[in-house]
Amino acid sequence: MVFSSLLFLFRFLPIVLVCYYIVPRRFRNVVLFVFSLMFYAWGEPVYVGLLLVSSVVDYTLGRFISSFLAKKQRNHARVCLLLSIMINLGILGVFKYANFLISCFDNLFGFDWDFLELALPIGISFYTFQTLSYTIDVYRGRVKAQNHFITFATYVALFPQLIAGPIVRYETVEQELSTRRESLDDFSKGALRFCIGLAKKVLIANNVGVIFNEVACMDSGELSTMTAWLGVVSFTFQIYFDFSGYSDMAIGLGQMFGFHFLENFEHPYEAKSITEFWRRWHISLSTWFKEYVYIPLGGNRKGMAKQLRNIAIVWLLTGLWHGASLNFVLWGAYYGVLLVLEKTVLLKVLKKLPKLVCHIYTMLLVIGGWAIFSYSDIVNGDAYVAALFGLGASGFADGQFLYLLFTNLLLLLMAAVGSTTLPRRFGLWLLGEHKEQWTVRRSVLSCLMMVLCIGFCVAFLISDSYNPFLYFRF
Amino acid sequence: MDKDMIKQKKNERQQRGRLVLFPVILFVGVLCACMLVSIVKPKSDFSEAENRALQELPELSFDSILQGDVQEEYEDYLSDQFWGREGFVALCTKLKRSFGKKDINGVYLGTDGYLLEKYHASDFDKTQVEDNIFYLSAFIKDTVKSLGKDHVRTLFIPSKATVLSSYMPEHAKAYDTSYVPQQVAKEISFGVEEEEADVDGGVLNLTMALNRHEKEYIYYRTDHHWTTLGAYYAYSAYKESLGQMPPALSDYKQKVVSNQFLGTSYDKVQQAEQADEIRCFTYMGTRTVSSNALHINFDDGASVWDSYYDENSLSTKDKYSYFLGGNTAKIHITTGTDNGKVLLLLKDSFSNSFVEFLEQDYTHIYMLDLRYVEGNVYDSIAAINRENSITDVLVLYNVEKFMQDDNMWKLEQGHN
Repeated sequence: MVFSSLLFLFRFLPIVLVCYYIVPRRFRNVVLFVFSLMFYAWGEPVYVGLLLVSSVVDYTLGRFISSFLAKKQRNHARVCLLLSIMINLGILGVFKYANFLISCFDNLFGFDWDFLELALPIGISFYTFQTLSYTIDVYRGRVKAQNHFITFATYVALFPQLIAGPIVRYETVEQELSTRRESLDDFSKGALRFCIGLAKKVLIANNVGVIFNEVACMDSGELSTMTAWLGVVSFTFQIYFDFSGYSDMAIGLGQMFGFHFLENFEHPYEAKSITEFWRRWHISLSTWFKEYVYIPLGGNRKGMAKQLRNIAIVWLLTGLWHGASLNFVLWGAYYGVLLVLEKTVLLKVLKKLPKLVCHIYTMLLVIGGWAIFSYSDIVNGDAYVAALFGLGASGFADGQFLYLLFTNLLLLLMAAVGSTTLPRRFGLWLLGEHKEQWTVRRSVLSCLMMVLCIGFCVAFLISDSYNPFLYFRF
Repeated sequence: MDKDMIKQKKNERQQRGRLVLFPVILFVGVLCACMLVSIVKPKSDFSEAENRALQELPELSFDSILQGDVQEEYEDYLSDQFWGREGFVALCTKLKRSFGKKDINGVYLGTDGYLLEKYHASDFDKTQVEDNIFYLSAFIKDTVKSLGKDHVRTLFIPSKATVLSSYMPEHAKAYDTSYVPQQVAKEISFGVEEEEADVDGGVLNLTMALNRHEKEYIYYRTDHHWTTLGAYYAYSAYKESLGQMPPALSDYKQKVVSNQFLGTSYDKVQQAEQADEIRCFTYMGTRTVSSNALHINFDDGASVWDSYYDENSLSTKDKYSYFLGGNTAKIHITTGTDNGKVLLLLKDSFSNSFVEFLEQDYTHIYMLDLRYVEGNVYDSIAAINRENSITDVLVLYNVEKFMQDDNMWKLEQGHN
């Protein structure tokens, strides 16, 4: 099930909310757990079993690790941790990477292995990383092992962040899982946040997605250089609004149930360097890799050579995490190299340059990155790359490009403005003084915003059939 | 502290408490209200406005749930049965238009009120197209062999966007499908003796013939079909390709039978500048038939008419069904013309308003619509030949619909 669907908005969500708030507090996790399973099973009736197995395994191993640690049997605890890591990565490996490895072996060594007939379970990359954060932190003593299975399983299956993140580390919700206080203030903030996220996804991401999709499916003879770049720019906006919209909805939903998830995006397209971009883009993933890969490997504390090695490892993994395909590996490597360059030389240079130049530099590289990233969605990949480098079969620019540009200009402008902090600042300006308090103005504005977002989104959802979630397949 | 101060603070807090309630009530209220309305609202199985069957509540079965079919159908059901559905589609169109968008839900918003359907590379499955070209070419080749090349014609009707290029939004270009007629012609003439190589296999792309009359009312503004006038120009091109003189346009009396027609392109955007006119053409020249001899037999006697026109359709949404009442697998027309010629017309819906023009030319016209014909077309042909032996064949298809059709395999001999 996806959030941006009539089913979620006008069946699932109202029912969950009503059930959640009418049952006594001690049953609320049960309600969330049961509904989360239904939410997942709607799209993955088979793989819901995998989710449960994963929960049982990590719950059990977490208990073992904690009891071994209490008995000072560190080695036993370590075995359990390794088991948990192997099982989680094993599940991920089989379902996500096996076919990629098989095709690599087939190509490199001329094997003739058959592909496994496995569909990628939705959200597997997200929930395996979440459960890993739990067992690793239990081992490190940063969190206590969870004794109630339902509470732990609620954490794993929690529908707001189950299928497309953010990757909520156990540490950050440990308290709220067992003792949380829902409040009207949180609920109404969360509801507004959800509506805004929905609008980002349905009104902007889906519509710029239409441009990208049109370019991506073009016959190779139709592509001009500018068309190809327009496609990449559209993808740049699509992926941001799609993913950050999803995160907004997830955070908003969490808030309605009394959870406070960490932010996942901080206006990444305003960044003035690639280093800064990655501090603002998909923060929960970068944090995860920093916490559980980069720092355990020694981070930057063991000399330049080790640090470079660590950066290389983290970015190859980041690339691979996004998909089992060579272009994602290349995309990861691209950022690895850029970040090393910035760390060693470029950041010092950038400091002396005007902000605008830094911003343009960053956006050009980011858009270039999305060109690599989107390659696997392009029907005629080679013609597309040729067009990007100025060898378009239809010249530099053609009528097709002008048509796409002119009929989408306002939309693209709106997306550009929407990815800065301007809308947020405008909203705060509208609220006037007393930003943190519930004034009449704030209440009215919230209501108005919600009605507009929901009304327009419903119109688009009913009218359009094109409504994919990009981060679904990860 | 002062008592009044405490009281005032308490009041303020209460007021704030009330203010925070409004968004909460609104949000939950809207969701619940929409849910209740969509549960209570009476369901319909057909949309007049969109002229299509609506998704009904899917039936549950263990397998179909595991496969995810039920879930998908249920989501379609919610969308199809949503209260005020057409209004929401119209709202979406308005919003997109105000943002400068010129194509919405696969329809170009052209000038002069023309809505033109938009095709894109991703609308076509390359293998399907290749297969269709192969099946059709083989069939025509085979037919030419038995009837002679002067008795077989294949006419491709281009989409509206191709013909009415000057009504397209600025810089927009129709997806080029001209390679399909070309390739069919090439396939057919492949292996033909050298001296006959000038024959294009009787394949005709109607783009040129129609484009000449671009400024006339040859396509409906809100529907993908041609008007009766457009069909007339296609008929003229057909006659010329056979080396015959077509009747002049002035030989026909035109009558407007409806000016309320909103067609398929309208359905997708729920917006139109003006509704369309449907015209009926009556031949006023020298007749070879007495008008009461017309006899139309649908699906071997399922129903029998003595007119091409279904007046009842004019009071429904789907007014194009005025012509022959819509699509039928097999229609046998006995025209009353007495020249002994028997035509097999392989057709899609464009032929429904075209076939009337053939009245003077054939004694019998058999129309087969492959989408509805069950099994192999050679079986149907054998059945026809037992009644009246076919002397001529005309294949008349909209190019894009032909490319997407998944029934062309029925043209392959022995394929069942």
